[in-house]
Amino acid sequence: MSVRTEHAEARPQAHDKPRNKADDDAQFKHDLLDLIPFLRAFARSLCGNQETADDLAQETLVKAWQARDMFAPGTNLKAWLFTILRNQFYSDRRRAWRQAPWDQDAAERIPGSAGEQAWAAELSDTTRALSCLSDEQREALILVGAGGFSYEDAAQICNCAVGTVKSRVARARKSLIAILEGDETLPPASAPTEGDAANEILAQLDRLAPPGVAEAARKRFKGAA
Amino acid sequence: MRKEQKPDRERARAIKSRQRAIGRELRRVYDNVAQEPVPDEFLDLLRKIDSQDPEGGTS
Repeated sequence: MSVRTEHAEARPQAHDKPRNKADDDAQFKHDLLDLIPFLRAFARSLCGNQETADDLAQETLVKAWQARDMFAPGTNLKAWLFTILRNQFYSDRRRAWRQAPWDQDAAERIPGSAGEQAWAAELSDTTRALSCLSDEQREALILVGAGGFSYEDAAQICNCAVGTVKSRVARARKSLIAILEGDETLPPASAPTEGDAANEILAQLDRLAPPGVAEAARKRFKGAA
Repeated sequence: MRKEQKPDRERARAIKSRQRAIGRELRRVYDNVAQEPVPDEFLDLLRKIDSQDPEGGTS
């Protein structure tokens, strides 16, 4: 499945079609339009702020349009667009934040983000806890937990193995619970200590993905990024 | 993890319900954005996107 956006110009004839290009372009544009709400939602989940997120979603539309000949009709356009958006997110951020980990403090140090703070104040505990996760865990949890993607599609979007996505989702859930349990402003939890939660989910994790597989895939992912 | 005493079961249940709450919250945030009307700037962008093609579109 072709999800790369580079080399669009190098391969103008990605697939041969009997239909004419104007019709295809019109259809493609129509499909893009339908998917804008989801692009915005995914972008917002990744960025945590509306303005940056909408810029990212618009950049994604432009890139997708430029690379439209690379899209294989009949495959999952939504996953294809999310892949572009995700790649764009990381490349923008590498440029802007020089690999700093995503967190609200860093976001608030960026000039011109006053609106961001106001927005952050309205965030739920869960959403704020999301900002404590690693990028990889956050995106996996968002794709599977909110975006409704299968583990297979999420793996394609994140450019990693299916087992890796499963373990990231499991770890993300574990981390969120630990963070929320540790938050003093939340109602006191009668239940688990962190260790118990960790053990429970680590056991689930072991059933989901052999550690070796996840580790190898993670290395590949790092190398490719 | 198999030897479950009663407190363990309760903890497991509490974790489960926490996880469900997290899932609901994630979907709520995502769905809220997805249900917003698409801002005009997006529609403008799509309308003008043909003319933004490098080398005048179809090559």
